[in-house]
Amino acid sequence: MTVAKKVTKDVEKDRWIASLSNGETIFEDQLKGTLGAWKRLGAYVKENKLAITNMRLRIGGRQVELPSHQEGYVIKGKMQSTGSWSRVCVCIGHVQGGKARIHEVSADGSSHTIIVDDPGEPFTIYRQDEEKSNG
Amino acid sequence: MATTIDWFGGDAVNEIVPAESGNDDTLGFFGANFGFSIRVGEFNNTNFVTDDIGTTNFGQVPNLKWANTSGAYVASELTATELLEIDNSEATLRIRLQTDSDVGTQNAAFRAFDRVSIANAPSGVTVRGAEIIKPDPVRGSGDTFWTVIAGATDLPLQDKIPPSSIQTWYVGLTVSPDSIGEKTDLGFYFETEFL
Repeated sequence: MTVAKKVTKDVEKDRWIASLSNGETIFEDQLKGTLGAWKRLGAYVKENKLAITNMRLRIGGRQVELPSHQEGYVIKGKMQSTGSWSRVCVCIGHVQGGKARIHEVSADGSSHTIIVDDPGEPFTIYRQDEEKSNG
Repeated sequence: MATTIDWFGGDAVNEIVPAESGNDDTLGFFGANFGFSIRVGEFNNTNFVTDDIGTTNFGQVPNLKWANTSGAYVASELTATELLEIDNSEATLRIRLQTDSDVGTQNAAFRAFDRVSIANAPSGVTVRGAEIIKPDPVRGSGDTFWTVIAGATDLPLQDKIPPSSIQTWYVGLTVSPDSIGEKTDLGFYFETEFL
């Protein structure tokens, strides 16, 4: 599965960045006509029995950093619209004990945090490394 | 991710264009034609894209008029149609999400609110909504019944599992004034999560 291991022309300024248990760093890229970067990362983590160890989001000149070494990490987009007004948020969070703590962040700088049930795959990427299999 | 959303009438002829619309949505519900009022306790006969105060006609959108809990009068028809037999193109609204990558969606919902807070019910008007899903002659798979939608009491819309760079929802709406007078404290709100 193809993932961006460096900043290329397909990697935008606003992006999530994931550090993996094998030492690699993966950047969100924008490849048209294929699965989104998060889904490709989920497949890559499974294929290689890895874990996301650190997760962060750069958006609107800010950086959101999540706690490291969690059971899982969540990314999803959220569109809100009244027809005449619309806003896209990036929802980034982590999972522990079946609950997800998610930060909804938009490029205009606004954000708020919610705690919801773990949305599950493909929104959540769970750790697939030894730490998980050993319980 | 370049992500856009647009709102049209269900037949995709007229768009609710942001530049026309002031602060909130620009869907107007009327009686016999544009500018005509709806009697208290009765329902809309026509639907138009309009400005905040309903004075400018930006084009008609399909009309659904409440007939009973599971049916509507489509356009000017005199015989009610089951909600499950209403075509996508006959729905009041078509809401289209476009993304660079193919995405699936979850937790989509549609609200009617007072144009102040999406948690508040619209003022002076009762709004009913139904998701319409009938893209072809096969019987539809949307909502069987109308739902009264008011602020946080929303209309949940079905998840779209197969990934696509274009995801589209169709919503049927019908309104009834609770009292005499123009009702402008009514707006609509849509949200969805996607990946």
